[in-house]
This record gives sequence, structure tokens and C-alpha cells, in this order.
Amino acid sequence: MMPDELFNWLKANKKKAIIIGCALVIFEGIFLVTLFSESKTSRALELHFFDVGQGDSEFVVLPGGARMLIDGGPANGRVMNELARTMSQGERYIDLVLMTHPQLDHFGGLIDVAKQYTIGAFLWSGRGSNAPAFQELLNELRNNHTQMISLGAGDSIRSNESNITILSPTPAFLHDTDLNNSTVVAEVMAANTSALFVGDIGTEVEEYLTHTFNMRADILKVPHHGSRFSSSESFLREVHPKVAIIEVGKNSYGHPTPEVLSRLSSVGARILRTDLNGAAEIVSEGVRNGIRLIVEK
Amino acid sequence: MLPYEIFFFGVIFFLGGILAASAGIPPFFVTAFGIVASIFFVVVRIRMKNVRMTWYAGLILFLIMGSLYYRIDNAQFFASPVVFNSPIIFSGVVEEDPVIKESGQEIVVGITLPYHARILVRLPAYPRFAYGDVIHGKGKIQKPSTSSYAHYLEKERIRGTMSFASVEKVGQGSGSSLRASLFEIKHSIMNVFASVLPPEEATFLSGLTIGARGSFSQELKDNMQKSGTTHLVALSGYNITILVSVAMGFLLFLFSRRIAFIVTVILIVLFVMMTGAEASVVRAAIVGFLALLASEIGRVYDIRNAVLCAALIMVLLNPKVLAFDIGFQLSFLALLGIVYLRPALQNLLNITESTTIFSWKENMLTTLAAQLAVTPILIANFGFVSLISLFANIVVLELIPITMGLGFLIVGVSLISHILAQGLGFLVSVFLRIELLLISFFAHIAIPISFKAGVVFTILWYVGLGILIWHYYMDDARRTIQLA
Repeated sequence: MMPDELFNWLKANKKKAIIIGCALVIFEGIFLVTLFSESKTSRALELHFFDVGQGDSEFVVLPGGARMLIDGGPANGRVMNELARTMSQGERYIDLVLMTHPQLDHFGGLIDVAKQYTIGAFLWSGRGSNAPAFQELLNELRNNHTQMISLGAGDSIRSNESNITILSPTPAFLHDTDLNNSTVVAEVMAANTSALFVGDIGTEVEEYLTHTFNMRADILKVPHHGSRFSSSESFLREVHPKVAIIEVGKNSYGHPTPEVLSRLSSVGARILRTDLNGAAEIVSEGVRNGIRLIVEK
Repeated sequence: MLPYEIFFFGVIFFLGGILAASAGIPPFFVTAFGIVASIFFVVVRIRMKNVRMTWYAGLILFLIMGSLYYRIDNAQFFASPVVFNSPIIFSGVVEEDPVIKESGQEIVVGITLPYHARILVRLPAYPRFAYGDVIHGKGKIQKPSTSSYAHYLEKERIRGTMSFASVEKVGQGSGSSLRASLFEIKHSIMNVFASVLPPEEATFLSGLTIGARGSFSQELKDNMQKSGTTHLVALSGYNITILVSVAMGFLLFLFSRRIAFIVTVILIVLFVMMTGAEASVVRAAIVGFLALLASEIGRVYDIRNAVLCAALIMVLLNPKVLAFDIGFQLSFLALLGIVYLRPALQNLLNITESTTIFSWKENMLTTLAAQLAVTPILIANFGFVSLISLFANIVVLELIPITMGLGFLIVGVSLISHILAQGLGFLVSVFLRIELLLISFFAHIAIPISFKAGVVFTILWYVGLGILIWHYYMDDARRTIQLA
């Protein structure tokens, strides 16, 4: 039916037209009420491991509803689809966005996120890059007047009973010649569950972490997409994760390497791969209810 | 012979010449054939004293002209010597609106140094380039990998492709300022959709309303192809009709008929330029313009000549569209199917038009007519036809007009309030979700019938359709005489 036909039909069926008009107004009203009413708060911790191809992107919803996006994967638009799938329609606010380190497979997707979402604060190590894409991200954040906060070892963020502790980088690792070692390492403690987000750290940072902290964690985002230069035996023994998630896509580096897969198996971790299993979601409501694992594909 | 008949046969012969040259038939053979045919018509004229034959004998010269026109155009296209697979340092200007894909961006660069040629450069997603940017770069020009891709690129006036190039922007604003502004409007519309809808729905709505489908995911493209619904996101007569009816309706309130007509025509031209002037929308715009013009100057509107006129203009501008632009072929054949085959099918299946708000019968007839008209082209290019497409279109087409209407409304409302636009986005999202779900559903249950169709099949198919149409119009004429 063409617009003029529709117009004629509406003219001929005035009663129906009035009903349709009223329905539209009511619909708009319901939408506005839902948009401005407070969203239901959950007591659970939600951890989403997005399938963004060869790259990292995780989304954390703390008990109480605070949301943090860790990395945005490469600039292929997939993080936007994942966010739309995870958040309810109309929601365009993320409390915190953490960029672990300035490599394209970790921050590329954040450019679109910065364009389409309002970000409460942008967290990073303070170490940038000369890559044009990174400059584009900085421009976008500056244009939106997004608050940018540099974090390093020893910093922490609290939200109600939840705690996010930054374990690295130390000033030495921040300026390491290997950009991967400048990764912001975050430990999320909420709903009696601990999760480690370690970006692309190599064995040197792993050694530092195991010597300095108690690294035991329920959930581990496996470092550097399963590269054999990370996830050392000693590190995995210390962390002893119940679930290990490898965020990986089609690549020419051989990620995840067989060595890492066997090391993870030897510590008894349940391995999830975004290239094989798709996006993964972990919901924890505390010890009593255990961890609920939802794997998509 | 009447002037409109002279035009009709002249254009048919000219297009025949273009087609022959596109198929690689040398001009010598076309010329020889033309001369022999011309002599044949003269002989028939003398023997049978049929005056029309004199006209045919003269008009067949257009066949030779068509062939030569293609050859000249081709020679000009290949005039600049391009060196392939050898590193070059080049300068140029971005000549089209860049296409953003999941894998990065594709820009068409008109290089001016070291030689003149248009090339397609594939680059990472960032830094973004824009129409009119002046660039310097380094890389190797590659020949297209297959002959069908080479033909597609030739149709786009592109000599080769370049991947892994290092490209730097050294200036901007070198293109036409009008086109730059139109692309800006297009991006603003896409941004409005992206700001109120989830990404997949936003890109689908951009495709429906302004034909922007560069960022469609492969999955969505495959689903649309399997379910036979790709045409929904190719702008066509439908979009132009909406634009004309809305613009004329609004402008007639403010201006005289003449001014409203002129402004509407300008709006159509701007819309076509904004959307990238793909074949289906250019065809629709020309046919639509001729319909408007006929009513404006009080002449009888002949759809047959309007369609041919559109084809002639497009082929004169770019002779390669006739044989190498699938969009061009699909668009024209679908239109011819809707105009000529649809009434025949309606009569054959004994279907009466529905009088309710739902127009599934009309949609079914239109889809069937268009689908039958393009079947050989679909088989030749994609290797299969989708039998489910009839059902998919009957269902999906019911929802498309309201979705498009709401899409344009969102753009308008967003100028006043973003929150209100978001509310409408919520509503249109319901429709978009249903449409995407249906497209995915029909794609999954589709059993593509794949087979190879040669020239014989194609000829037999169209002869069959021709007989069906001829039979209907003969019957129709007989009925008219009886009634009289």
C-alpha cells in the first residue's frame, strides 16, 4: 500500500484511524515511562565475553547494575551488535569503559562505542599510540567531553559491595618496550566470585603478579588469545580457574596454541572459546547458587 | 511509421548493437549483418510494397551505431596505460562515498599521477576517508581476479584494485560540493538510525530508505538472497513514488503546479545523487520523471517508450551497464514483468484486487510477475532461484511501507527531539525485528533450486512469457471489440 493509498484508507476509515493514532500516542507514552523509570537492579554478577572475532571485549554488570565494558575488539562493528544484544533497547549509557592497552584488536571497536554511547568514564593506563585509529578514538572521547582516568597497579574502584582492583601495570611495565605488558590487569570481586581480566600480558607480568598477589580466581580471561608466550604453567597453577575463556577469532598466529590448551586442561579449567562456542555469559549470584554458565552458538 | 514507433525501433536496434559489442562480436560482423539486413528490408519493401520496411532498413543503422558507440567508449576507458603488479607512488582524489565494511573500508580513487585511472583501494577501517579527500599513496594495482569481477569493475569505470596500500590524506574538499553535501545528509540519516536502533536494524532501515547497504553483514546478505528479498534494499520505483507523492503533496500547498513540478524533479535528482545513483533508482527516477512530465505537458504517457528512454539515457551515459550491471537488468526486467506480465497473470489466475488495507494479493501478483521476468538472470548470475521468495515477499511486503514511512518520520522527528525519535525507533524496531526474523526464517526453509541455464533456456523462457502476454492482450483486444 502506497502512502497516498494509506492516507485515503485512513480518511475512509476515520474510526480506525483514530484508534491507530491513539495506539501510537499510548505506545510513545509507555516508551517514555520505561525509558525514564529506574531499571530493575539485580544482585547477580554478570560477565559477558563477546564474540568479536580476533580480539578482546568483555562486558561486566556488577550487582546493583553498574556496567563496565573492557575493550571493544577490532574495528569490525561486532561489539556494537553484542552490546545491542546484551543491553535493552534505548539504553545508551555505559558507566565505565576500560581499554586494557592501545592495540587495534582491543580498542578498534571502542570508536563506534564512543560515537553511539554515553560513557561515564574512560579508564586506561595513560599509554597511547600514534596509530590513526587511536587518534580517532581520542578525538571522539574529547568531542564528547568524556572523563578520562589513568589507572595503574594499586588503584581500585568500588560499587556497593563489589570491588575492582587494578593489579598492573606498574610504572616499569607501563613503559615496557612490549606494549602487551602495559595491559591494565583488573580483578573483579563481586557476588562472592572473582574474575581476572588480563588483556595481552606476557609471562613477565604473569610472574610479577604471582609473586605479588594471591591470584586465585574463579574465572580467567586467558591472556593474549591463547598465545604460547602467555599462560605459563606457574601462572595457571596460581590462578587455578574454574572457567577459562579464550577470546579468539580467525588468525594467522595459531591462537590459541595447543600448548596453552593443554596447560589449561592440566589445571582442570573448563575452556570456552569464542571462535568455537560463540559469546559466553557467566552469571553468579554468590556461593549458594553457584555459577551459571550460558554459552551461545 | 509514427514518431513514437521510430523512436521505439531506433532504440531497440541501438541497444542491440551495444549488446552485440558487449558480447565481444567484432564491429565488422555487426556492420556486415546490418548491411545485409538493410538490403533484405529494401528487397521486401520492393516486393511487398510495405512502407514500414523502408524504415526498418534505415533504422537498422542504429545497430551499427550502437556497436561503434560501445567500441569508442571501451577504447577511451582503456586509453590510459595502467601498469599492474608493479609498485607505484600515486596521487588522486576519493571520487565516491567510501563503503564501510566489517573488514575495513573501500575507496574509489581517481588517480592523476603517474597516470589517469580509477582504482578501488581496500584499506583498514581507520583513518576514515571521505568523498573529495586528496590522497598520496604507495601500492600495487592488481587486475581483477575473475572476468565477471573485471566486467563489474569496468561498469564502475574502475581499472584495478589495490590492497595493502599505504595511503595518506593530504587535502580535502576536492570533489563537487553538492555531492559532498548530499553524502553528508545521507550519513546524518544513517547516524540518526544508528542512534535510535540496534546496529543490524539500523543498517536494514538505511537500506530500505536510502539504499545504503554497504555495512550489511554477510549473514544478512545471504539470508536476503536465499529468501529472494534482496530487492527490498535496492531503491526502486517504490521509493521514487513515495518521494514524488510526499513532495508534490507538500509543495502544491505552497506553490503553483509548475513550480511544484520543477522542485519535485530537482528533489528526485538530488535523492538519486545522494543514494549513489545505482541502476534501479536511476531507472525509476527517469521513468517517474517522464510520467510526471507527460501529465505536466498534457501528453499521453507511454510506459513502453518511457522504459526504453530510461534504458537509452543510462546506456548512453555508460554503455557497460546493459550487459554487466545485474541491477540494471533485474530492474528493467522486473518493471517489464510488472507492467506486461502482471495483468496476464491476474487474468490467468483469475485474481481480483483486494479492497482491504492488506494487499497480499497485489503483492503476490507483483512478486510473481517480477520473479518470473528475472528468473533466467538470477540463475545465470547466482546459480539458483528461490521458490520460497513468493511467500517471503507476500508476508514481508505487507510491513515494508509502514516501516519505510516510520523510518522517514524518525529522521524528521529527530530534528525536533531525539527522545521522541527514540520512541519511534522503539516502534519501528518491532517491525524491523519481525522483517529480519521473517527473512531469516524464509532463508532457512528455502530450498534453492540450483541449475545451469544456457542461452537456449533463457530464450525459451522469454518466448514462453511472450506468448503468455501476447495471448492475454489478444484476448483483451477481442473482449474490447465485443463490448464495443
